[in-house]
Amino acid sequence: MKEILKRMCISFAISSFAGLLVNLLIDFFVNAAGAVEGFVSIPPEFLAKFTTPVMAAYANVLLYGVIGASFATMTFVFEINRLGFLLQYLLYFCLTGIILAFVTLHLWELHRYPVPLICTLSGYAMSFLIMGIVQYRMVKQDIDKINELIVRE
Amino acid sequence: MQIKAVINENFKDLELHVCKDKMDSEVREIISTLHGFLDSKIVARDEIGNTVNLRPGEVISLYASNQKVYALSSDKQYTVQKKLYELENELEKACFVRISKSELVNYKMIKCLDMSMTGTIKLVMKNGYETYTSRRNIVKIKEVLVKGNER
Repeated sequence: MKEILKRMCISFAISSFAGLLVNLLIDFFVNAAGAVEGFVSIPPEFLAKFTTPVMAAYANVLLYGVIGASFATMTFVFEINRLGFLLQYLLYFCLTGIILAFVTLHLWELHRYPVPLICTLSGYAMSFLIMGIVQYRMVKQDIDKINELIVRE
Repeated sequence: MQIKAVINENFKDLELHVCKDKMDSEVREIISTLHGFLDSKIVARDEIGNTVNLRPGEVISLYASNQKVYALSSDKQYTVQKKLYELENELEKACFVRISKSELVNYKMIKCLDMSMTGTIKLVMKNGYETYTSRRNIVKIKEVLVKGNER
């Protein structure tokens, strides 16, 4: 429990900071390019939920933190050894996907913007697929090596 | 380094001699490792409550379940008063490795490891006992076996 709380707090801080930094960079470069006047990288539908844009920006940063913290909390599935790590990945993907879908579809209303939505969700799914394949191969190699060492002993 | 086994009926008890021209850190380390390996005992209780001193070499697994710690030998199960992390520290030199949050196994007793299609990693011990480990602990198991092979 202590370990999960620690993970949650650290992830909350890192995710909030990283989200803030990415938003700042996007806003800076888009505004510097002058393509859109007064550009803010927050969906207008999300902005409309708040009385001022500053409040929306604060809430957005907090949301990044909440996403990070919940992703860290869900890592408990990796402690369930009997599941096998491909099932662990799948469960983790589904659990975190629910949170991500809630934030992106319900709060940010990204379904109104198909391109960012597809980019977010496909990037998310691809990263899991690549991680899963790489991990599977690495573990397989390690197991072969261990069995070889056991025979040698 | 030469390792010699002298088999002679004059030796009734096991004797280990470490020979070198002077006492140095290598000799001290070997002696300390041998003491750690040979002197460590696991104090346990059998099913009728008798206290038993188990040699680490005869224990296959030490695991926690329902807030109790158990020692599993090839044919019996015992309860141990100590916590798993205490046993882990004490038995570090006696061939035990952590395979999950709730279990340590004697790596000399591992028969093989097997991974299913779903990524479940099964550890099969020499007595047929089967248990599971995670990908995180695989690296640790590999490290101790590599070290064991180098010795």
